[in-house]
Amino acid sequence: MSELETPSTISGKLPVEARTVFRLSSAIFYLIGFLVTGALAFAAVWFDWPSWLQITAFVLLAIDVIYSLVDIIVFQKWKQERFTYLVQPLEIRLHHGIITTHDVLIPMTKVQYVHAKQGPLLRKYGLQTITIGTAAGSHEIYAIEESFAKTLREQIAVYARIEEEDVV
Amino acid sequence: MSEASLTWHRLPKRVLLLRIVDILKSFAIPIVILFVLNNDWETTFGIILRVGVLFFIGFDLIQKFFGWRNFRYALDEKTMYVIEGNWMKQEKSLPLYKIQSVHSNSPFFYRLLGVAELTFDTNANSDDASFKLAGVFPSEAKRLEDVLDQSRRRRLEVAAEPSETDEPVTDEPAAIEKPKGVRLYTLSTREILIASLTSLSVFAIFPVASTIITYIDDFISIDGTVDQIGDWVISASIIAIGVLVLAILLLSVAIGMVINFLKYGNFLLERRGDRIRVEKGLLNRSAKEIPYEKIQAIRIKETFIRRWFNIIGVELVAAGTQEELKDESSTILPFVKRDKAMAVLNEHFNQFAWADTLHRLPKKSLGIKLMRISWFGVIVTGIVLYFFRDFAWWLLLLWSLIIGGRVLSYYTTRYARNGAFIQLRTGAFNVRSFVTDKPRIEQIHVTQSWLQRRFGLCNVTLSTRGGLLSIESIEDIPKHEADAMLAWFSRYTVEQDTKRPG
Repeated sequence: MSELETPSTISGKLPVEARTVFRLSSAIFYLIGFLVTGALAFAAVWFDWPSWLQITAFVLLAIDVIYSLVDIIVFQKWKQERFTYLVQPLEIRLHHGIITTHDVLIPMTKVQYVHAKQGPLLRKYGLQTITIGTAAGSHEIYAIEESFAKTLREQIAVYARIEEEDVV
Repeated sequence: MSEASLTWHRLPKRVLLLRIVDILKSFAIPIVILFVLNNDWETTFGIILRVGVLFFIGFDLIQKFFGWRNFRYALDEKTMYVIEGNWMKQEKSLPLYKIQSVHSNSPFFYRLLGVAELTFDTNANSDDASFKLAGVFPSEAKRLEDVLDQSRRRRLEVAAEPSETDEPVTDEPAAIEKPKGVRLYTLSTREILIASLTSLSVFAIFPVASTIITYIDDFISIDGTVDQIGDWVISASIIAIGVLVLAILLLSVAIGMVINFLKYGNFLLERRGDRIRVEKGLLNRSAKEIPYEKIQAIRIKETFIRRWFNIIGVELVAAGTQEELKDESSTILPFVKRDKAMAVLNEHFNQFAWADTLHRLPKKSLGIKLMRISWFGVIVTGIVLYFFRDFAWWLLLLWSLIIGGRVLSYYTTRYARNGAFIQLRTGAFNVRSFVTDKPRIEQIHVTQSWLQRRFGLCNVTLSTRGGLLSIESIEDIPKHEADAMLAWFSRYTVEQDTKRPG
């Protein structure tokens, strides 16, 4: 495979701030799990449930804590580190994944829309997520720097000639 | 739109009759329960309930009547207009050039009254919903189709010189006449008979019968009879039971034949210029058209039993057909001998070429398939061993199915790339083959799980524009093959053997 390295190629990784956003958002998610299992363990002790139920509750709590720690510390870091994207005039390539890796190849002519979105966490760190949509589904480039996201989005739109294609 | 200059049409009056039938159908269960089986007007609640149901039916009737009265459509040379709505008057207009195809559908009652339901399909990606004329006379349907045809023809003439694609159908593209339909395939009675015999639904009679018995049992007490049957089964000889089972099977084959004849009777596959037309059905007759350029891929399906008889089914994956119709309309050959089907495909669908040789999976793919834990099997085994230990024997069957399926899927999975085409063959008991070409693929998605990384294997998913049905994936192919597919798909790879990529 010969990739012509033209100057108009945009490739990159996610910024390090993305890691913080990923960690925070999954921390919020795991906090809910922690509260539920914690409440279960607490109820098991407080109401003096049968011992096997108490053990189960504590095992669940332990699994929850260990898994969320591993996920927040290791997996979210990998999620940021292992995401690469390559935008070329004729195609987009995405490579990401922690345990299962994904390789996606979208020809520019098939791109139908490019959206950008920003939740409160992303806004705090000045980041945006770009969604690239085709007739077969959509793909996201998570958490890239705001002004760069704008350039990238406009560049993809130009390559894909999105404005011209709305009239049949 | 200027309302005065157009001639507005209503649907024929007899359509009202169809609406009444619709209402009766949708209220059938409450009507039967409340007024036939259990018709008591004693309790206050019962009266309220019944009056309420009658009120709803009446309300629906009035609404349907005004719905019919307020529904009007008109057509000029370029646009179709519809006015409808009881509470909120809606005016819609649909440019004729946006209409991709017209489906006509005549359910039994429609045929009884001599009308058909027309659906005008637009591109699925646009927001315009498809238009439906629920009940028009054949003459009116023909007039509408003629107007559409003319507008299409005008557009073609304006757009370009007649294209140089080989069209054996139309001899004079300049003529305003409709292209003649070229008959591609008709199902023979024999084929429908064989299809009924080779259908797995033969065995569906047992669950269906038991459901019906329990259902009837709820209303009429046949408990005693069932008990007698049970006693008889215990006391009767094996031969008697065998005869009974055989009789039930024969009955089910007969039912299957009737259903298949109703569904596929007078099946007709036609090519009309640049469109494919499928007509089928005895009682409910439906006709659907798919424009050639909307075909995204072709899929061949072989069921477990029919594979032994070399009978295959062929489906078109098409973009922009209505979601609900997609599954039905895309079957162009339901069950046809392989050589006949391939002859039709090679002659009339030669935009997709089928490869002669396909690659098999390497041995390690079988290894990884067998190594995976079947969570379904483990859970079922756990439940059976814990709660129903007497039935543990059935687990042998379950596991042989699971393992057999995996071994079979190793043997059936094949893939090939030839020129601009890519072909995948997947499945275990039922096999499906899929062919499409590079310009029609929307994206290629390669995934590799942790276990697959150890083996150097991965999964590849292709999607075309045909919606969910167009997604095809192949599992456990070597990583270098997947990379080769990506390279093949990449617009940056210089190609040697293809004529002109899209």
